[in-house]
Amino acid sequence: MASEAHDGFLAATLPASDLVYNLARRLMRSDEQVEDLVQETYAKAFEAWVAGKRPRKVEPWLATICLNAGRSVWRKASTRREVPSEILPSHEDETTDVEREAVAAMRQELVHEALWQLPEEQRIAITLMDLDGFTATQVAKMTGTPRGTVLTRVHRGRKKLARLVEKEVIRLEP
Amino acid sequence: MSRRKRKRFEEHLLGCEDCWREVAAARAGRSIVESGRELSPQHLRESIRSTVAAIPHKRKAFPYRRLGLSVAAAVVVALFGFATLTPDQPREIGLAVAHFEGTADLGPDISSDMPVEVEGMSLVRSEAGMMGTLEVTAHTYTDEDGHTMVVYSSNEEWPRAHGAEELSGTPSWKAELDGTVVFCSNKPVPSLVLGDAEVDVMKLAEALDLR
Repeated sequence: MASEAHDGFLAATLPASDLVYNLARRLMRSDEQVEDLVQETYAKAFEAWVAGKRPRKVEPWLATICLNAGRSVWRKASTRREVPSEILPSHEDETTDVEREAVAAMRQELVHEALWQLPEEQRIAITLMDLDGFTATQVAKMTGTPRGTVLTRVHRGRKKLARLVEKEVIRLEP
Repeated sequence: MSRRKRKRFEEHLLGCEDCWREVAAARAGRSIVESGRELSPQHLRESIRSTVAAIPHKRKAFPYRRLGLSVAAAVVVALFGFATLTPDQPREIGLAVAHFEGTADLGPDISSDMPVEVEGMSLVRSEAGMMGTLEVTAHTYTDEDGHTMVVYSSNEEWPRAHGAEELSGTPSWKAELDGTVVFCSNKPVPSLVLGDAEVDVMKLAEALDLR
């Protein structure tokens, strides 16, 4: 049953659900794992909230909880992904409008898959800075790495991502 | 970046093909990443609500609530005596608060002999630099719930924050500035401890023998 504490917590933190979701999508591979991680993040956050540990800024707080929980699951699972030679399956050479719309709609998924081609540190740094909007200083604090290292990872990751996506776009063009 | 450095950087870019390509590639990459930003599915928001609602939470009956909110506020202020933010705080204190809030950098990372684990928090970073006229080292601690506290040590005494409350019998003071709790002790080592919650700040200060 919801209480004032539940309502207050959700009012303060639910607007950040997109941020948590985007981070979880880059920490976990399957949709089911992503949803589990988001729910676990909010559950941990609520428990801290009612224990009196309320941050002034919820976004970095939630992102840090998500990051720590995601890394904990990642290390336990010890998954070994094979890196596919292509990001997306190739399509037959069709020139219908439907096919072109499908290719356009796949762009978001293409970016997502390209991010998963990056080393974990670059993927996380880029997600926190470019998708979640944190500053390099904030990301440095959240990840426990020097600010300069964060910037290097983001810069290298962006360049690699641009190359990966460009290669896939050329391959997918009719 | 200062205006002069920025101007030099931009002038260099105009004349250097390699650097121009680097910047262009990074900008393209950033644009690509931002195009991949997604909205959380509606069903996920609903499941968040359900997950949180399922966690039991009992409201605690604090005795002061019977006195009414205005009296309760007076009791809280009397008990803790925090100073509210006042303008024109000493520069070093303002810089420490800005660094804690993530809006200012300090300097390069350094190795540290601070305890790696203390009061449920882990040391994640130590850095050194200048805050005003003080040589400062900053040690960042975080816990599993994402809370952060930072301990600042300096070579000279920290100036006192305006409106700070002295802690009787000790060479220490505390203040609340813009929502950040600041504890200061100039002995044994001039130190500040900054955090979001007073109880946690004081616990960490005590654990580090600063109180």
